[in-house]
Amino acid sequence: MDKPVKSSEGDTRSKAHPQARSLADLAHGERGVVDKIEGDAVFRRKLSALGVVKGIEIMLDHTAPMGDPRAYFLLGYNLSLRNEDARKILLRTE
Amino acid sequence: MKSQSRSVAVALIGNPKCGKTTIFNRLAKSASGAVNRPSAGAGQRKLQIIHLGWTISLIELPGVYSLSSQSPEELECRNFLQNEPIDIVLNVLDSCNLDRGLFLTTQLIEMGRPRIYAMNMIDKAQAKGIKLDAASLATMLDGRVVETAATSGEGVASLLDAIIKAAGSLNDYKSMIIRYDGHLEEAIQRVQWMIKEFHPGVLSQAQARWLGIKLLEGDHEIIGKEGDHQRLVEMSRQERGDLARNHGDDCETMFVNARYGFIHGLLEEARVMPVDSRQTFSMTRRIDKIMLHRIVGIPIFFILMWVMFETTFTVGQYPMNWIYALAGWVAERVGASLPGGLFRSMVVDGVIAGVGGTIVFLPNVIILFMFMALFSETGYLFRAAFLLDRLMHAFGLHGKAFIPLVMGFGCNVPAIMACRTIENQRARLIAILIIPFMSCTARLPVFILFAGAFFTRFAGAMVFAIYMLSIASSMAAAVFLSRFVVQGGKESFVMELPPYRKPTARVVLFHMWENAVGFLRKVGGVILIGSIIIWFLQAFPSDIEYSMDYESGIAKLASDGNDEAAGKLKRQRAKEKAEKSYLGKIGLNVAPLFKPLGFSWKDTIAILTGFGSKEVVVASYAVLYAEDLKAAGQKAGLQNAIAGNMKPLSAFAFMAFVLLYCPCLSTIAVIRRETGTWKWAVFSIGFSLAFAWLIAFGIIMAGGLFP
Repeated sequence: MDKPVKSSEGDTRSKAHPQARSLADLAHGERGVVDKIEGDAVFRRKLSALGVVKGIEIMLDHTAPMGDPRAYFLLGYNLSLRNEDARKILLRTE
Repeated sequence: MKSQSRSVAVALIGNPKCGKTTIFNRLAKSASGAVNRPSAGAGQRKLQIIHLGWTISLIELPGVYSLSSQSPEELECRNFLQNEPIDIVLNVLDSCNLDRGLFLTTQLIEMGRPRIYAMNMIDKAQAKGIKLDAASLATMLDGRVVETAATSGEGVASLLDAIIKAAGSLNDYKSMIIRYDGHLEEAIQRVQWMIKEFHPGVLSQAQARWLGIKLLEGDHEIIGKEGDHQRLVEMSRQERGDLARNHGDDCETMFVNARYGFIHGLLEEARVMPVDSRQTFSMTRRIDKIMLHRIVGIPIFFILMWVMFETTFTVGQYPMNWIYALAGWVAERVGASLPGGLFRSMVVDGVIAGVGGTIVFLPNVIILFMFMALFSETGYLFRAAFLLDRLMHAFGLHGKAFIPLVMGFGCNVPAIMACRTIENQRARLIAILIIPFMSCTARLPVFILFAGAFFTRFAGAMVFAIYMLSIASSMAAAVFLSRFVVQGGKESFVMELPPYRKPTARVVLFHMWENAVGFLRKVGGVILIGSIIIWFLQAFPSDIEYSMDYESGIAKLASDGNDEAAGKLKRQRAKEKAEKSYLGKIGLNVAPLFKPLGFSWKDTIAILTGFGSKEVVVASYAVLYAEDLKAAGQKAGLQNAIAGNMKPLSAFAFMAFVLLYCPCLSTIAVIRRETGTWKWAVFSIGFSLAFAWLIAFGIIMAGGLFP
């Protein structure tokens, strides 16, 4: 049931970076690889301490009742992020 | 140098929820000698154990993911490891989650203190099919590695042995160094060289290197500390800029990537993962499929909360009645054995009434703490934070604030300290200021007393309603504070959802025990003293000038056989006596303030006495009504005695007022300490008083509309 869901290319792109998809664009069960983390130093420092760094594979796992925040699965644990923050984590485009 | 005195200081550090606390407690159990618990500083726990001739001082540091200067907790850990005379750092790691956990370890290695590693939860890792090579981990991490399963106690004895072995060879300790790639390493060398110039002969090699790395990372706290060494700061800034230009990544990211590279390489060699590593997490994820469900998640949360309060009230009722009967029996016995007079009155109407009246609520307090421990130990609290973040966000709060807020239901003091996990200063301050509105167990006796007295059939529901009011008030306060009072920047919500854990009976019982003892200590201390003071104030002055000659009036009516009228007169005399006592005078003076709320002077007194500590409110009632109880000649208890005292609507307003008014003294002190200024402590008092009055008044007004 955790098979990656292929979302159609192009319709879920982040507004700030029309060419790159972000974590917020992942569909349930879909996996992505982190390419770049934007945002201020405080935010990036926080994420790096939790293992969210370039090259890490992340999967969308749960969505809270109001669609925000969401829980992502990486390195064997679940991390919750607000969508506005998830948008700052850009994914590698294959 | 330490080995002559045979004592060693060990600091425990690790990620949140890695089992650090359990290891800490287990170490005390495994020691061969005596155990002391010296008083600990804020957020730290200390323990001194004697084992095989060694005195081991254990200090447990708060759970952190990193040692950057990000949150107060991280800064605290870092400064502690830097400045305190710690001989050994005991790094507790979750064996199932080393990829992330070792990030903290790389920073510990850089700080250069001797280390021991506890690969905790090894049983869970093995069950998942993860295999660790302890020997090669020990080599690569430069420290003894002990595999432990703290919940069962496995490996804790070997951990003690490892501490002693490491302590014995501290003298010839030399820290390993994590080497970075070409340019980064060269820059470190250059900065380190200049550091030696500025700190000649003071810093060890490892310390200088650490300082260099921090400067290159652009750590604000360290740059601030080195502010005097302008040339050093300037040089590291330049190095930082050069590196970023040459590599396209900022310097801090380069360090982070290098550290994870080191971890990755190390785990490749020393760890074998099961074939399908993604499947292994499934138990927690399966539970979360329901608990975090978009539709049923929130209803489940409310049901759990409701069960907690309903159980607290209904199950607590039975032992409460037993204790009540016991207190009555003791009062009778003591009353019979003591000679009549003031002393007996003080013991029976003051001490036994006050202390007994409060102690009956011990079962409720214990049950509530049991639930709190269960929610926190299983990891459900984090789910609740996840479910409610969006809502909390709308109120200007941080999702992470949810955990301290729920802790506030237990006691506000640790809850305010728990706000340290919120990195953002503004979000943290708001959380600290609204926690006093969370109904702590000290207020629970008041609610149970009043709910039982005025809302007999719906008592459990009323207590639940008060807790909902508590949450609503804190949310309203949060909106107000974030709009008008507390300034600051935006925050992000980055939180781990730790795996579900089966709560161990030991931890839950320990938690209940600790809080029961705390409650009893309060009963024996502040409540005992409060009861005596209140008894004194209501018993004196003894030479009251009555407005009429009650004695002859009563005697005359009694001789006429008009018992009813005589009884009425007796009650009238008791009323006048009470009103003319010191306590009555104080109460009557302040009472006008509470008149719009429908509170009598006795309620006013109860409110006033609750300023120091809210448990005293019930003790006050017990003392204030001790006379009435006797006059009524019934054993029906305090609930019946106060039931006629006010209207149910006023009773609810009173419950709301007690819920919201003024944090207790310990809470005020901890607000002062955690915010670093009296300003916010004083603000909190004024704000909560005004808030409480307005809400209580609002309840009276709203109730008046629907009679």
